[in-house]
Amino acid sequence: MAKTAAKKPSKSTKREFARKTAVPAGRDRAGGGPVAAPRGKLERVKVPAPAAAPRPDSEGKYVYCIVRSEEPLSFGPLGLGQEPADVHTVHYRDIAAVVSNTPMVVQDPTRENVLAHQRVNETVMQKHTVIPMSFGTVFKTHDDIIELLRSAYDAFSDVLSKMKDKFEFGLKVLWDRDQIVREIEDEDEDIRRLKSEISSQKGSTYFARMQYGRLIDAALQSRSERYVAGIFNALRDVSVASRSNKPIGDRMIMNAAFLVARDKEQAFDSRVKEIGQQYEKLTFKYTGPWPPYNFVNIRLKLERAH
Amino acid sequence: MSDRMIVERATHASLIDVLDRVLDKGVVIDAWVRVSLAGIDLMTLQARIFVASIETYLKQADSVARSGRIAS
Repeated sequence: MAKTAAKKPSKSTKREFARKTAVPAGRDRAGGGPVAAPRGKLERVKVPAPAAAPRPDSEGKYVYCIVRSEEPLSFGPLGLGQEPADVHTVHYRDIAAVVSNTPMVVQDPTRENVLAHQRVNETVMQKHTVIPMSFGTVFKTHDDIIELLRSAYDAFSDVLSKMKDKFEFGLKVLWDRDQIVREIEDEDEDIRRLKSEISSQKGSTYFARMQYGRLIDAALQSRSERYVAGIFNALRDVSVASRSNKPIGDRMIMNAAFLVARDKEQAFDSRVKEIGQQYEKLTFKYTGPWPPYNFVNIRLKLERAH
Repeated sequence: MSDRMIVERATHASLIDVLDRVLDKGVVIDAWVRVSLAGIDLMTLQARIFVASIETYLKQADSVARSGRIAS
């Protein structure tokens, strides 16, 4: 493929060049390729779209995730693009990249694109352990994907083993701050006294208000810590690992991700529901299963050979 | 909110939850590489991809004592 670069007439644009070289490269390896015809011997194959032949502008390959598989896989027309692109695999040894053909452009994280990225990951992870790619990774050719898999083989293989049969679940916990403040005022005598001082006092209430603010903040902080610690503890024995991200906004007190083994999913699920009943004043936003985004971070760089 | 509501798992991920994950987590390729990959052919340039760092998080969050307010 590389050799054609020199041969092309110079007036040919890069785009045209890519179109001519990249597409055939995608076809000849790994059997399936973009023209994944229905093949009886494949396992786990949803019937591919019959009209999945590469369109002329499908030049690059968008990568969704890495899986372990020696068999070509096809997931149907689920990928990025107005007409969802056919999702298939490119293989190196026993690992594979889940890809679809895409125009050779930097993809914007629009709603449609981001949800398509997620949709593919969701579908693949139903039957495979995945290492998710972050959004927007496009390679030019089939061989470039193989180069990616080859270069990072040890990392991918190791992480695939570590993540085997594990999912991520998200748990965000929110509270109604005003309601909690009222509760604190009811329960804490000092705070109650200050509050009535502020409302009855004729002169300056500056110091009383300062002190009130400080006490309320401290009480909120310690209450939130107590809740969060309680929730983490309750989920400890049904999860493999957990991560605590920064809460977003005023109402959120916990923004966590849990890594859960496939066979503990039910147990985790019921535990979350129990917690929800136990902490009835809190609001829980529970999502998943996700690919293990919060538990894997592999950074890749490009180095130019001299 | 004070009703005893059963916590339900959201079946459809919200865009925010997805964005929270897909933009900079998982396998991340340098932003400039992402851009330059769109214009070059690795083979032609004899460019090489390498793993700059690899981390997996397989422990329980140690934030229990310090609450979820601390970013990790």
